[in-house]
Amino acid sequence: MLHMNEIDFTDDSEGRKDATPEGASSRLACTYWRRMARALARRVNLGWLTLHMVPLAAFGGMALALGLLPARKWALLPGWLGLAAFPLWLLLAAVIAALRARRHFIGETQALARLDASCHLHNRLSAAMQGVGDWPPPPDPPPPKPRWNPVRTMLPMLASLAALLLAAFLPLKAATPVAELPPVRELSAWTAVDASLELLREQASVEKEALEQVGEQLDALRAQPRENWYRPGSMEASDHLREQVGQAARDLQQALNTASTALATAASTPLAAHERDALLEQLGQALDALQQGMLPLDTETLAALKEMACQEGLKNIDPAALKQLLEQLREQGKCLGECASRCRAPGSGTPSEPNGQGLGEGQVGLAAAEGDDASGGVSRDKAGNTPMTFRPPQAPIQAGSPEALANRDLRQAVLGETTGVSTDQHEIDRDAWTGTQPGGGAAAHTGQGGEAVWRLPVMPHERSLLKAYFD
Amino acid sequence: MTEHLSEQEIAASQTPLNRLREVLGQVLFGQELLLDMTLTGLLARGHILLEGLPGLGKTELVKALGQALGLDARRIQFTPDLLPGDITGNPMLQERNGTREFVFQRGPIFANLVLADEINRASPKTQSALLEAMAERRVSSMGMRHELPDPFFVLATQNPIELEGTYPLPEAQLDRFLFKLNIKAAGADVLERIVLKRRLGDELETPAVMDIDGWRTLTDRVQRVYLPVVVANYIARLVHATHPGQSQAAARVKFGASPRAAIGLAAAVRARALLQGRINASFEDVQATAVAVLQHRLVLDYHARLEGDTGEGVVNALLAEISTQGAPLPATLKEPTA
Repeated sequence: MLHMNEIDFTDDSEGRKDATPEGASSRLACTYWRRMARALARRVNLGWLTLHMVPLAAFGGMALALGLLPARKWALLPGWLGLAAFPLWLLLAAVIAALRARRHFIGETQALARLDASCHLHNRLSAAMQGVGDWPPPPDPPPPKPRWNPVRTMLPMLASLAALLLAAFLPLKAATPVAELPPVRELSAWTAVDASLELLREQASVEKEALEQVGEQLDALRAQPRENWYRPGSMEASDHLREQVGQAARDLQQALNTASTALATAASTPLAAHERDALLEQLGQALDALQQGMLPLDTETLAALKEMACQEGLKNIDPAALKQLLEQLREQGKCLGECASRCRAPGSGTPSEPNGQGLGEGQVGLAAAEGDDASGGVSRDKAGNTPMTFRPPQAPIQAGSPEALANRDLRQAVLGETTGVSTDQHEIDRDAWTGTQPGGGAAAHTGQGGEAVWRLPVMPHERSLLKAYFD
Repeated sequence: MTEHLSEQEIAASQTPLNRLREVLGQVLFGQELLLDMTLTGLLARGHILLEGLPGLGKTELVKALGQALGLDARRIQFTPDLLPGDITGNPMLQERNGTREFVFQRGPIFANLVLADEINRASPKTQSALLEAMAERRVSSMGMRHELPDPFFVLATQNPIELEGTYPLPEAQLDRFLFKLNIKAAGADVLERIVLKRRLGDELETPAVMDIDGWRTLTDRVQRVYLPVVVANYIARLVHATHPGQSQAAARVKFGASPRAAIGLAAAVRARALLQGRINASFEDVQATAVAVLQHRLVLDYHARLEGDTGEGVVNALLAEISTQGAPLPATLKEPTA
C-alpha cells in the first residue's frame, strides 16, 4: 500500500517545479494517482499473465507427472530430474502466456479510468492526465485494489505440484525387461528347395532358366508378410513346391539313368538289330524326358547325348568319349538324387524308395485306408481334418457345384428381383364422372357468412405468444 | 483546437443554470429529474420527445422554458388534417408594383422553441415536414431555403394510451429526437403541493432568467466540455452493443442505434457535465443519459413487443451488461469491494 509520506513530490511528471503550496499539493496528488495507476496496471497485467499461465503450467505439471511415472518404472530417468524440469517448464509457460496475454494488458490511462470508476471521481483522473483540470486530492482510505482469486491461481498450481511430487517420490517396483521373442523361422520346405536349387546351380546339370523360375516362386512365398508364413495356404503352397522340385529331380535322375544304361549297353555288347532298335527307342524316350518337365537337363549335356545317340545307330561310339559322358551323367544323377532326397517331406519314406510311397505321405498309419481327406498328418505342415474315425465316409457336400435356389422369404428380396407377377387390373369407378366441372378461377364453394376464408399459419410458440397476449 | 473549459467558466455557468432550475421548479413540482434532462437536451442543442399522459404539465414546461430563456415559443397542435404547409409556411401569390409573385409566409415553426403537441396525430406526410427542419434547421419551399432562428428546438409530445387515429412516428424522425423522456405521474405529496399552489385556469408567469445570448454562451460552453477518451470508448461500445448479436441485452433488437445516436449521446454527456458543474464528462453522465438517448432508436422484434419489452428495458440491461472499462478484469482477480 502506498502512503503519502512515501511520495517524493519534488518534481512532477513534466519535470517542472512549483514552489507554491497549491503547486506542491497538485504534484503530490499527481504523483500519488499515477503511482496508484501504475501499481493497478501491474496487478491487472499480472492477473492476465497468471490467467494464461496457470492452465499451461498445471497441464504441463500433470503431463510431466504422468511421463515421470513410466520413466521411473523403466529406470529411464531419476525422479529429481522431473522435478528439475518443472521450473524450466514454468519459465517457458510464462513466456508463452506473456505473448498470449499481451493484448489484454492495460496501461496507465486505463488504470486511471478504473480508479475513476472505483473512487467515483467522475473521470477527473482521466481528464487531469490530459492536462484538463486539477488532480483530485488523495483519498483516505486509499482506493481498494482488485483481490487475487486463489481458486483460479494457486489451486491448479498446487495440484500439479502435488502430482509431480507424487510421481517423483512414489515408491515404484522397477519393471524387468521382457525377453525378446525369437525371430520367425522359415518353413522347412523353403530351406529344402533353396538347398536343392543351390546344389543344382553348382552342378550346372539343369537349365538355368528353369532354376530361376523355381527361385522366383520361392521368393514370392518368402515375400509374404511374416504373420502369413504359417497360414495353411502358404504352408500348402510351400509343400507343393518342394514336392514338385523333388519329383522333377527324381524324374530327371530316372531319365538320366535310362539314357546312361542304354548307352553303356550299346557300347559294351554286340546287339542284334531288333535289340538295337529297342535301345534306340528307349534312348529316344529318355532324351525326350530329359528336355521336358520342370527341371530340364542342361543344354550342353543334352546336346552331347543327342550327338552320341545319332552316330550310326550306336555302332561307332568312341569309347573314351562315352566313358567321359557316362561319368558326367553319373555325377549329375548323384546330384539329382541328393536334391530329391532333400526335397522329400519329413516322414514321407526313405531315400531308398524313389517314389516316396512310405508311411506319412499325407496319411496317418491308422487311417491309411480312409486317406482321401487325410491331407494333413501330424508330421506335415498341411492343414486339414485328421480322419480319426472308423465310420464309413459320408456323402460329399457337393461344395463348389452351383445350385438354383428359390427365395421364399420376400423380406430378403434384393433390388431387381421379381417377387411376383399378377394380371389384376386397378378397380376404377367409371361411373363417377357426373359432368363438366367449373373452369379455372371459378369458386367451387362460395362459403357462408362468418366462415373463415383464409388462415394465418403460425408456429406453435407464436400461437402461444398470441394467446398470452390476447388473454 | 477547442480550448477546454476552465473552472471559472464552469462556476460562472452554474449561477444562471441554478436559477433556471429554480424557476422551472416553480412550474413543475416534483419533476426535478425531468427538468434536468430537459435542460440537458436543450443545452446539447437537441430536440426532445416527451411522452406522458395528458395533464402532467408538458405544455406548461415548454411555455415556462420559453419565458425563462427569453425565447420565442410557439405551440402547434397536431391533428390528422394538418398539412405540412400549416407548419412550415406557404408561398402566397401577391401583387407588388403591378407584378405578381410568390411570397413565402412563414409558418409557426419559425420560432426558437416549438411545442409539437400530440405529434403522432398528424399524418406521416405532415410529420415528415419536420424532418428537414429538425435535422438541418431550415425549411425549403419552392426551391428556396429559409433558415430557422437560432436556437431552434422542437419539443414534441405524444400520448402513449390513445393509439386510435394516430400514426406512429417513423424511425427516421424518431432518430432526430435527441431525447425521449417519459413523464411519470407525481406522487401524493407533490399533488398536494400542486393543489395548494395552483388554481384551474391560472396562467403562470415565469420570470426571464437569461436572454438568447446568455443561452448561446451556455451552449457554446457545452461544446468545450472535455470528453475523455475512455468515456468516448464507453459510448462507442454501448451504442455498438445495441445491435443484434453484439450483446445479450440486444438479443431481441431488430435494428440498433445509429452513429447519430452516438454523436447525440456524446453531446448529452457534455451537457450534463456542464449542468453538474464539471469540466469533463464522465461514465456517470453516460449512464444517466443513455436511456433518454437510445430507447426510442431501438427497433425491437416481434417477440419482444409481444412480451412487453421496451427500449428502456433493453438500454437498462445494456448498461448492466457493458462495463465502463474497455477490458474486464481477468478471472484471477476479483473486483474490489467498497
